[in-house]
Amino acid sequence: MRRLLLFLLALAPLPACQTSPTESGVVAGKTVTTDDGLYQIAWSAVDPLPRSGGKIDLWVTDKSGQTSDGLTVEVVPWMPAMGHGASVYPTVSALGQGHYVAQPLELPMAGSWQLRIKLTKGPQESHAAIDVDVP
Amino acid sequence: MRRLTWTCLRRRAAKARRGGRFSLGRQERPRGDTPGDTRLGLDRVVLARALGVLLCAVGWSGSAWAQACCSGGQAVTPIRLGDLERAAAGFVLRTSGGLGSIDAGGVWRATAAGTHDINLEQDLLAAVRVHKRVQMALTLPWLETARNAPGVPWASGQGLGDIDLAARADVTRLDDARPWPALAVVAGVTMPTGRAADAAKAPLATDVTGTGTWQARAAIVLERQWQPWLLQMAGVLTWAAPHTVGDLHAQQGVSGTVTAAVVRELPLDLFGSVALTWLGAGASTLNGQKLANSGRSQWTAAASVLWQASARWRVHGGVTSQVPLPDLSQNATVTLGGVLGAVYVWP
Repeated sequence: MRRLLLFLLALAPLPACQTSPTESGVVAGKTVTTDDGLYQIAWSAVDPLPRSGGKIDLWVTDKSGQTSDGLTVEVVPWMPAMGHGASVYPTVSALGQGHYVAQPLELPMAGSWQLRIKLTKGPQESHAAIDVDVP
Repeated sequence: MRRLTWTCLRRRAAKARRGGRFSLGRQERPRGDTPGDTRLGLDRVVLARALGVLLCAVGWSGSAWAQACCSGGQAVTPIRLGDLERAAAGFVLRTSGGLGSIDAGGVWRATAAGTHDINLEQDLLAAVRVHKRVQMALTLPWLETARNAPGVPWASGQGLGDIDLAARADVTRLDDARPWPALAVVAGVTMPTGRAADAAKAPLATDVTGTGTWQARAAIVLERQWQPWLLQMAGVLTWAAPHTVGDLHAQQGVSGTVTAAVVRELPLDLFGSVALTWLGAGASTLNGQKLANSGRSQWTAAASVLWQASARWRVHGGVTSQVPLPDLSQNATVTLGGVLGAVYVWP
């Protein structure tokens, strides 16, 4: 019984690594820092990202490691080598405890994309970029 | 860049064919011929024209096959007139399918299962001679794209592409009697008349038909003959104007292509050619900051055949594909495609 309980506890999802249990090939545990150093963004997404309908989870913390809520988060897809973005920008939803979800991600062309993130709080804007590849 | 196959029409004849060899040189008019007479010695005229057409057809192998959003401005000229030709008009049919891509790190990625990318293009071409050594050419492209992806049904879109205008000046001409290669310079501009990726409305951006920005190019073309072979080298530099999307101010890096093409006469008055093109582009900038790993490097191979259907009509066809060389490529889209075209000439 004790072994069964330990096994069940091991299966319990960890708050900081919430991903869909049905998705395989998830990229998790990666972080980027905003250009002004104010925030760190941990992110996860299915790998490879689909060309349409994908999403990305973001966990934002400040310099002291505290979760950052109340931010306005914008995610803009851009293809650096081709000089264009996408015509559809994802909607970003705040789920609390610094967790945000951007979807749908419309990345219609194969190649390397950059998800350009803007965090706004009052007059302060912070920027970061996440590099992803679409087959 | 999607753009055309060229039609290079030359009327040169210097020597009679001997034992299957041909010669390109200044044309000698048989007695009774009048200027503009297209019924000169077919062998000499056909061979000269064929070589020119094929070189134009295959030399345009690289960026022409890239996707609508990102191509343009890298072909030399869409149609090239021979010395005694006043004007020409033609059309080109192209098709290509996506095979995969090479990412910013030079890693090959095949197209995802259940994903398809099909591109079709029809170009109307026209050229006119404005001076004995200068000619102008125009390209009107029409594009269609069909795509699907897992969970996304087939979607398609179409529209006018980026219109292109080019001018070519022959500094020196191909001539058997001269030891140095023929040299031509070309200038061209591509206009953002197509729909850019940022303005797409159709699913999977299938209605994208253009780059969304002005592009200017300059090129040098060298040709040299070693019977029965003819070699062409062309170098093109392309500059894209900066453009703005929302609060993003983007500027693509200057790109260049180098093409080497070889033409040889085949039986039954056919002519075959093979060409290899390398495209390279510098890093792009966004809001004044250079984007790391945003440069491009891509290799394209092409093969083409020409058939002289009549004194004024010629038909050509070919296949082309980017060569997936992961260690030598970066940010490259790999496709496989074919082309079929025809041109009518007015002497």
